[in-house]
Amino acid sequence: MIKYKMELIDIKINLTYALAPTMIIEINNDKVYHQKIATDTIAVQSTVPTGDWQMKITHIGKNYEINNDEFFEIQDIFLNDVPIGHMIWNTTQIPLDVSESEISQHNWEGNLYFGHNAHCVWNFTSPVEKMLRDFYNTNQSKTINAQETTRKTLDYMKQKFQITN
Amino acid sequence: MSIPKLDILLVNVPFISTAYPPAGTSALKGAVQQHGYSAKVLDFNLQLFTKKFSPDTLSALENYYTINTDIDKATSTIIENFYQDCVRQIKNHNPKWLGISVFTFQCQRATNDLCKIIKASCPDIKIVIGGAGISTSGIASHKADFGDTLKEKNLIDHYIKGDGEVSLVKLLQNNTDYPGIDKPVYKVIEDLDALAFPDYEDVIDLPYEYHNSIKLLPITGSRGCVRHCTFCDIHAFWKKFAFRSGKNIAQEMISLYEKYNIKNFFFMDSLINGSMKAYRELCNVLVDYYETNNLEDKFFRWGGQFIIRSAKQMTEQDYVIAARSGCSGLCCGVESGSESVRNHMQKQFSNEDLDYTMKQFQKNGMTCYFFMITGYPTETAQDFQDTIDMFKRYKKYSIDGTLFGVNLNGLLSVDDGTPLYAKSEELGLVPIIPASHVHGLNWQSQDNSQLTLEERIRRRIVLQETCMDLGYTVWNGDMQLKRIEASYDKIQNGTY
Repeated sequence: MIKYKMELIDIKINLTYALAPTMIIEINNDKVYHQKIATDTIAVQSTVPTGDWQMKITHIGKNYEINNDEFFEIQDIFLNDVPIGHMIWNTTQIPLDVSESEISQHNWEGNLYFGHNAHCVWNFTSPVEKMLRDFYNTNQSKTINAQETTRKTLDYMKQKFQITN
Repeated sequence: MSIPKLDILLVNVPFISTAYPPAGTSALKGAVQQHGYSAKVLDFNLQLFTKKFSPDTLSALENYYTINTDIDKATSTIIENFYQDCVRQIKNHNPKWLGISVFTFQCQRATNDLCKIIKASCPDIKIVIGGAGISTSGIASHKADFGDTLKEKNLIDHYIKGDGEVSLVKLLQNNTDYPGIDKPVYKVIEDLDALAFPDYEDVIDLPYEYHNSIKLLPITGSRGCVRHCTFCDIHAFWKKFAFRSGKNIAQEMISLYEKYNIKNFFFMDSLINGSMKAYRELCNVLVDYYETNNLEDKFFRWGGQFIIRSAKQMTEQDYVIAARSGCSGLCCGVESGSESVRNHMQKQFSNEDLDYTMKQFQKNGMTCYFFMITGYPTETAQDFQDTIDMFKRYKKYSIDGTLFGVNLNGLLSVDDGTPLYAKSEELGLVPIIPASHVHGLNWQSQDNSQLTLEERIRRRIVLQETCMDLGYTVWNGDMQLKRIEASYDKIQNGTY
């Protein structure tokens, strides 16, 4: 049996909304949030295994006849307090109860305005820090004008001044 | 046919960075031309350091100029040939005056060598030197010791201390009584808007090692500082904060773009948001220029040293407009994660202010890097832990590149001209080496006895390791640690 190392992740979603839309957040198909939205920031925690993982956000329960103005729109997604930047657009909204003719009237790719009952899925990887550093290209120490910082010199100094961890 | 006399040839000498054109010589060229004098700029430093030498030779040359090392015969020949080539170029331009920019003390050796050769081979050319590097005792010192030394040896005719734009013109007008000419006390220029823009015509096409091959020019928007940090000697040098209007600065940037297609600028100022009025005006004029000319936001990219301000002093809208104008890559002197230490330093910002600033940077896509100081005289174990905790808390900004680097610097140095130096006795600082005086790293605190030199070094090393473990990009750590080691050894054997 494969044992996965699990990573605890803080997820924060900033949004705008009207009326009281119901949102479901699922991480790898596990429901971590299922509520009527009453605030413009939603924070949840979840654990994910090393490797690929998925976040699914669903707008559910909209009654088009009674609450046609109901919606929420995702503004930002933060993982461990770090914005996911342009990765937020890497999703396609899948409407749940919309006619074929209406589907063709909207652009669903990268659409974060949930005016219908619909869901979006984002694919991420764990460790999240590595994924984000790869995305932002901040995973390697860079030097400017050969102003180096190396472990070798650091270790030499630790040894000379007898600094143990 | 003889070559007409050039009024002044302005030169840069080793060793300075070749990352972008030096500001001083081009600023002086603009200033003297404004008064009808002819001028030309030659960057001898660039000529030497862009030759195709081996890395070892380049390193030997750099060490020769920066830390006065001895050199082998082959390197000696390179330097000799370099000087002869400099003299040939100087003769070709037939100047009445030669102005040498002594940017830092690291330019002193080349200045000394060149002056000897020029005085011997072209005795008719008058030599004037200037720049922060003419003082060996720090920029704050009123002892123009390098300038005096060369003048006493008749290797130069004059030196200029402090602002050069007006005093150099006075010198060309033969007014050697003007403050700052061969005198330590000089007159600060208060109306910076009245100065001509720098003239980069002679250097703009030279092969500087621009970062990522993006052409960049320096801008000077102000002189002096609005804050009075205890470890800084700037107020001994610049008595008053003088600044250009935002409009005037924007006009210079726009003219450099329209003339040379330059879109990237780095401010040499001690701070770019010292005057919020000028800062706001600069941002607004740039954004107006983009809108008027159908250019996208952030068409220019510009940055420099930036002071942390409260939300009241610098509003969310200020950040929005600054980001739109292209302000980014800001150097923030955070110094410590401890409010208590920063209060003693007179930094005048709280942790809340810093949190607010970082949040605004992130929100508006502005980037920054931190300057830090370890081992401040009042720093306790808890203060140091506060710094460690701050870097843990701000890791998120390192991940998304908002905080793209950290310069931990060496240890706190008590330098001549700083409030710390002036008040060292009052602060209970005593020298480590018996019968010496408090200076540099040669101090210990009677009021904070745990903060020995060894403990300061330990904290500096632990901080670097923590930052590296957290994934921060730490700049220049190797050189800083080696300098700490060298200073420690000298203090141990009493030769510091």
